[in-house]
Amino acid sequence: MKKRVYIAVLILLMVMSLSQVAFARKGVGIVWTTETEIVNEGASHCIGYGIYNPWDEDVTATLSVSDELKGIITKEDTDPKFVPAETYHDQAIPVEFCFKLARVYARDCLIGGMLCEQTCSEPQVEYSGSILAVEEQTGGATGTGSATSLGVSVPLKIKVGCNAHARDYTPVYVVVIIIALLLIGWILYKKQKSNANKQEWQ
Amino acid sequence: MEIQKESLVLVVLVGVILFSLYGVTHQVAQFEDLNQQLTGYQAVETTASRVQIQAYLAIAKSSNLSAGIDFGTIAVLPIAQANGTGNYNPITSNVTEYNITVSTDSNTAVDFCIRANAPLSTAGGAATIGLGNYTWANSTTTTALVPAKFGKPINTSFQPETKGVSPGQSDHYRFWLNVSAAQEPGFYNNTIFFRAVPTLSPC
Repeated sequence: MKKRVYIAVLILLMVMSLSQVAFARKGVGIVWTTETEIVNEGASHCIGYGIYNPWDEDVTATLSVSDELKGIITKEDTDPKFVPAETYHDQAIPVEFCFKLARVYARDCLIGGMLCEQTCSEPQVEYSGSILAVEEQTGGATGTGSATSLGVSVPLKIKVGCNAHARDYTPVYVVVIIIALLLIGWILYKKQKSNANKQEWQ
Repeated sequence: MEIQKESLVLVVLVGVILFSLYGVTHQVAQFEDLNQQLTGYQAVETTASRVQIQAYLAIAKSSNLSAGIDFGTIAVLPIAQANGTGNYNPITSNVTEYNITVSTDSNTAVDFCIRANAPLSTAGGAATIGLGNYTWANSTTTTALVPAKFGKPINTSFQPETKGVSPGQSDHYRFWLNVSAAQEPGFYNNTIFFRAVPTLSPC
């Protein structure tokens, strides 16, 4: 009788461990709060994402941007992240991406890059791509077949903002102020010198 | 007379400086106005209103799919529609063991996409099995007959497939392979990528 109970417990334990293996799941998740951002040309902008794993196996995953956004990205943390099992979306591991946008709209400048005005008459420039969370590839077919890779992708569109403004004469004013100050200094210096000469003659 | 002339020049220069300072402040004010317009600033009392909408989705492969899509050792050629070893599980009424599940810890429905990196090939790519011979089918339910035989060929760019899979639901797969009589012996491998996107987003 005791032996039967022992065997039954053993079988139960085996079934339980097998079912664990059968239902063990490995995956990856992504948390995001934006799909479209407007960023002024010439400005930098960072966007935060989260990587999580609500499943029952640990996973190593990376977050990256698609090729369409590679040209404007300045900060991309592509190091693989270890995400423990049962990391839910509210405990997601934060990952930040930063973008720097070049000047893309034509400006009418009188001298080099100075005395410019901008009309923003061109159509809005935008960069469309996606942010990918991909689990590290594991396993593979033992004979003929395929390894599998799983990923989650969310869209991201960055629209380039344009600041329309009239011609900026600030550099001209600054140069005029400097010249006027120099002239004033020169006149005062000359005046002081001539006074000193007069005193010497007397 | 000389002193009067100098004084006049000095007065004019001070005037020029004052005018230029006014010009600079006017330009700065213009740009500040522009920035305020851009940020929605208004010269009235305001109360900020803010909401952040968060979206999240997670998916996972079944253990059989994690282990890879295996066609085993094929000893008799030619063979048409060789089954992936997980296509039919006799213990569970011949349902497929290949599936991807959308976690219940998700708040958006999901579209799935699939692609292969390259044709199945031996190490170094000496011999290949074209992707036209590698077919797949999928469905959000599974029985011995669903996903139905023999699907469509896989290719190297992402193909949108099942749309609008809700949190808690699974997408089930079957895979088949044709091998011609002239195929060289060897181990043929590639990688299959599965991608989930928020529903109606591009792959």
